[in-house]
Amino acid sequence: MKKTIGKAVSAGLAVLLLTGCSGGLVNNVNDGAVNENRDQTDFYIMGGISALSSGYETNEVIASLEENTGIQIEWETMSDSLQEQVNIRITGGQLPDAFMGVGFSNYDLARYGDDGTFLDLTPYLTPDIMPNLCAILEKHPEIRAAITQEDGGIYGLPAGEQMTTAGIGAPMDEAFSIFSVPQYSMINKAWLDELGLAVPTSLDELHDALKAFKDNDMSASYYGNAPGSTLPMTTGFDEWCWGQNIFYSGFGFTNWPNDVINDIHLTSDGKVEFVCASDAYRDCLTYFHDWYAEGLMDVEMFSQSDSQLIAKCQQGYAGVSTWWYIEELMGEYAKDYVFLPPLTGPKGTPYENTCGVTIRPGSPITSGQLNITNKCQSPINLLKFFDLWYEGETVMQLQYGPIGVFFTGQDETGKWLSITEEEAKAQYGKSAGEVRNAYETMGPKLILAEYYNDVFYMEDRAIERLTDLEQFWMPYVKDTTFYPVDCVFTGMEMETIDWHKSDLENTVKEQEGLWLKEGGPSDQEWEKYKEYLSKKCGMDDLIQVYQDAYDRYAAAQ
Amino acid sequence: MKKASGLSERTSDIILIVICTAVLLLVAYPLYYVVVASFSDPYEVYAGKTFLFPSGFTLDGYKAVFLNDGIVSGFLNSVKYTVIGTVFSVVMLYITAYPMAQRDLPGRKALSIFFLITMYFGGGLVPTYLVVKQTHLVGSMWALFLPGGVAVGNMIIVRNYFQNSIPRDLVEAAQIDGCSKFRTFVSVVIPLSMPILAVMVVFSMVAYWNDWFTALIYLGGKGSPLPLVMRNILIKSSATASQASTISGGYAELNKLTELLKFCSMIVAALPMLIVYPFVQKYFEKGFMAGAVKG
Repeated sequence: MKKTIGKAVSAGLAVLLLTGCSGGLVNNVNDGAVNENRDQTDFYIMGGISALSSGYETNEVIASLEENTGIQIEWETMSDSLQEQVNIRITGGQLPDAFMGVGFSNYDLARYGDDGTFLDLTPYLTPDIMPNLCAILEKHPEIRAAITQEDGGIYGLPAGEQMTTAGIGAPMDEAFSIFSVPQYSMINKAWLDELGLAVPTSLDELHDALKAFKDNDMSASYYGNAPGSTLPMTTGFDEWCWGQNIFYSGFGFTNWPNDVINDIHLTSDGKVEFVCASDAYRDCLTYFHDWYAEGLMDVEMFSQSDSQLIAKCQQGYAGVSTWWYIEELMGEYAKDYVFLPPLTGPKGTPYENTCGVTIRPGSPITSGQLNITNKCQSPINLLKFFDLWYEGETVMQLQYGPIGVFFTGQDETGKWLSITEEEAKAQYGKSAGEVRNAYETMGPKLILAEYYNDVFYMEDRAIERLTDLEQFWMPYVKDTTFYPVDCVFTGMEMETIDWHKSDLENTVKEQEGLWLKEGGPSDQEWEKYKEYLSKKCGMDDLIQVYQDAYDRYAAAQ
Repeated sequence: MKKASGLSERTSDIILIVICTAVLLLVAYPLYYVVVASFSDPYEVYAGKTFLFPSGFTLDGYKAVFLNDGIVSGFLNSVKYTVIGTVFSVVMLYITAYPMAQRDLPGRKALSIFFLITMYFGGGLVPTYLVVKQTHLVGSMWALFLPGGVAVGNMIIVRNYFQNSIPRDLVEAAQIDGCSKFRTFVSVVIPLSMPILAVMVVFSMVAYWNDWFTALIYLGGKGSPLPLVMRNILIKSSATASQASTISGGYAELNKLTELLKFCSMIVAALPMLIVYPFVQKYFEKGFMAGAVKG
């Protein structure tokens, strides 16, 4: 009797467990067929929003798109802790009809595509349902390649911003992204003049200039700040636009923070390597430690925030620094600063004539900005709405603001002109950037490089930046190969990356800081470090993964 | 003889006063500095130019905080959650700690272990969320109080207080006089445990006042308490020097307000607590260690 009860109980439990599981499983909807249902016109979309946005409900551009396609969207948007809340919703099975502006990684997409949470959009990409997007994919097969996952499915609509030198007249196939060289180094020309020095062209000359800045306490003697306030050189450490990496050019590389993985380098003959394990890297850190020890580099470089850097620079303390624009960092002292070109290596070393700036890729085309879930009854209706986003004039308004607000008129070629700072101040009492912020939407916005040629003008600041890039910085770039950010990885490869990437990046960063601070590695330390990277941080596996992905990418081109 | 002792008393007074002043300054200056910084140009603060008085005086931060629509409702919500949450928590503490303090409670040891386990192991965010969701509490104020309603650490302190600081003779005397168990609890135990009650009130109050994460997860953006409103104001103004924000520039200006708001929101969020604190403090000193020492 007891046994039977036990059996009954365990059978009951098993049933409970099984039903519990199947409740969580979703019927796989990705069978390659189009769901022809067109009944649903009210959709519920959850997603990210810029914290500065005034909300999608009041956004006239979105409202008119909804009207055109005859659907209504209820939004649940958040600008903060988005990832956590999205994860909770997916795990809890409380799905909206679609996620917008979440920014799912390829890893997430593969996973949620595989378990049927996200709809495979491949069958829906027809000129019937999505005419605009299909026309773009036809013209740009590389975009289709970038959003196609390893299993052949497309689980989200493409998004990306191709802001390149093409927008200022460079030929389309020789254009470089605005992100190619993120750090522009700058030097106080007024101090140089005062000391009778020329703008340095080599690390040795910069060293002497910094030393002179320090010895003469230029901040105090020239700007009248407190004695001893001079910071010959102040930057962040491996930071986006305010790091020290530009100065490494004298050793033949610039290891910018990279979207793919930090320190990755693709040689011109297509070989993947990590600069953080190269001899040049070791020599470079050994060299710059001397600068640090002499007090030429700011001791706070490892700990300061960008706000602290701006604060110091706007007080006129800094001789040399890096940022995206001079005016923004230096404030009222900006007129005294000029760009400091990438420098050649120290004399008497093999790097004497080396000056190598490596460029980084632009922002990737991703498909994590609009993902339709299996809750959605009529994907066709929703996709028709989002297809309108792939018109140049529409996406321009979604990115910047409506015609009549941000875009004030067309010139003779039909290109849209955006509001100027003066007009914005006069009409809305805010800066043009603030006007834009209120309207900017986060979602599947695909801003192609050609739009800047025939749909609207690029922002003035971007034009200025790109002009500097093309005229001043690109001439120093001898090798324009970089690891493409659109490489697609297999599931196994993504596992490897997911497992090792942050380990490798953190170890390298920690060591780099330590060696800068305390002196370069001895032979033994260096060997130990390289061994650690290969054995513990999976560097060899990562090289293999990135090499394979690149080889496939190159073969497909 | 008298003279000498008088002098030494004076000297020791002076030494004491000097030490106390030094300690006071050490503790009070950082607080004062935040107040000053909330009125100063943040870039001057970071450049080390602010010491005793604001430099580059500005009210922009407070303007941004108080012009926000959410601030009043956030404050009221916070008061509501703090009051209800504190009453709820203290009641829960008392009705669990008192039985646990009875030596003749059957299964007392097992219950103790049961409570202790929850101190060391938790389900984690997602499982907890699922439980809260399945009990239909998501979006309701009770999601803030019910999960984790008994703070086990506090419960142990209160239990020890009941066991050690309330004389058993008094309880027995009450029972001999004809008090029921309930009457004993209400008329003898509760009045005798005022110091520990005050401590628990302060603990819960501070915890509920500062809590924003639970509200963020469970309230779904409705009825946000003050810290969450503050946080949103801060996030609204903040941008990071990353790819997206660097293109169109204006970062330095935007960032200035963010840094300023950090100080202002700190002041605004902490002020109500700083005002309430002194009133409960007199109980606090008495009760704080009362239950713990003899544990």
